[in-house]
Amino acid sequence: MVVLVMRVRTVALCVFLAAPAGTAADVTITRSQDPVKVIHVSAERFAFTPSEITVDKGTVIEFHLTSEDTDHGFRIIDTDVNVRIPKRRRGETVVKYTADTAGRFIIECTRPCGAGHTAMRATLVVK
Amino acid sequence: MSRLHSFALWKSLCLLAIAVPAQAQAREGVPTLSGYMEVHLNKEEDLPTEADLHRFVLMVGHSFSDRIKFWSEIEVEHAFVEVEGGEETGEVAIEQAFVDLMLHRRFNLRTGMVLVPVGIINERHEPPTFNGVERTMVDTVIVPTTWRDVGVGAFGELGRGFSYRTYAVPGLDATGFSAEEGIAGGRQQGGRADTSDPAVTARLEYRQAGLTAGASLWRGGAGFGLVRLDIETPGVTVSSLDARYRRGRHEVRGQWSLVNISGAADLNRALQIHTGLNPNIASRLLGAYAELATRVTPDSWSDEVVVFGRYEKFDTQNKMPADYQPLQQFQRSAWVAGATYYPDPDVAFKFDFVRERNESGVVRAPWKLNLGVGWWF
Repeated sequence: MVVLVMRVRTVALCVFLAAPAGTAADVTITRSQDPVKVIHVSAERFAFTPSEITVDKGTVIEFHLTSEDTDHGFRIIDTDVNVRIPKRRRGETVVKYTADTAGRFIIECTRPCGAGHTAMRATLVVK
Repeated sequence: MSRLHSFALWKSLCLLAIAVPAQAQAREGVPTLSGYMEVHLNKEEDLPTEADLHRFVLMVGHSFSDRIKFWSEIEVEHAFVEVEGGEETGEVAIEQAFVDLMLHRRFNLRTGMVLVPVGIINERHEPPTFNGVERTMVDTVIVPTTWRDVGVGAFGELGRGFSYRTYAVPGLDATGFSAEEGIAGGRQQGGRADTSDPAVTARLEYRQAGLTAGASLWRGGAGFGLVRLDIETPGVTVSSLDARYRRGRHEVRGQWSLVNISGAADLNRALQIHTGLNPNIASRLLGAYAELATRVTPDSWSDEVVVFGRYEKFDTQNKMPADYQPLQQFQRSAWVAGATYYPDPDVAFKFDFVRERNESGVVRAPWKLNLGVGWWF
């Protein structure tokens, strides 16, 4: 199940070039009482940060997607998540996804962004 | 290529642009089109001011499936190609045309015309991604961007922020090396490339919260053009370290690149016998730069102005083989200062001033003033 919200946050846009919160190389989220887990993903030619996200099965993930340069795509293969990430300081895309199927899911950029576009991928691991 | 042929090429590019959906969200089975352009106004001391459509680049991609991807880049440099006095005025080139076979996060295959993964600019040269109207001199005469060749290799993510790319590619042609531009003239660029002296190239990259750091290597032979000159095959090793770090409105980036050429003395002697001229090729070339940049516009503005300063050292005569003296006018450095205005993150209006210096007491290095606009779509 996917819920998509586009937000333009004037104040939040002040973080130009700043490291987004929680941008470790790999992120592991354990299911808790919280109904939604917020995960910030930063896109930049030609990588997503974090590049691997691990959650427990059943976790409702709220992805907050921003770009450090041009607009990118964010598609989780074999799911119905397929959204556009706006350009740097042009807001963020928020998309919810319920990780109700265990497995490894590939996340790929779907908007052409340059020489490394085809390899711009990340992984969502649902345990 | 004649103007007629250039016109035919432009016509083909325009038809391609019409046929392929621009910046389409990639859908399976539907090719995508993107690209970038750069227009420059260059003034160099004692030379006329030049207006130049430096690069017109179209990129076509296609996703055969989630596992098989295609990417390509065709470029026209300096607006058209014509032969004047035996020299070409521009360039039409395929800079990328490869197929990726996505197998696993850690291991995927790539083959076709690939970019050599050395330094920052060679793989990431869209105009809005770097400061300065022209690419750095380190990425011009030390690492000869855009450096590409037909190759086969692997790439993938290693976890914890690490990724890699590695390819086998044809080697260089040492008969094209020079004192001024190093190994740039030795690139085969994927056109009927001689594979007698193969090379390997690799890059290990690390990304973490605003930091991107990379270590790159290219190592191979360069002697296939010298088989009748009875010398040992020259070998070339290019080593490079680079890093970019962003925090808040500030960015710092730097690169250090070293080129070692083995057998440079024999190479110089052989080429002198063959051509009558001593090419004075060095056994070591050294390039490095450091750049500081900061956004000066308020956070509340969507338009951005970034000012920057850069110091570069680009010495293509850094170490000479025995019995050869360096040409000091090619032991160069430069201070570069300028600004970039982004009305959109994909559109960059640029200005910079370059004060170049060299070690020569005779040949004076010129100053340069550059204006330009570059965009990505």
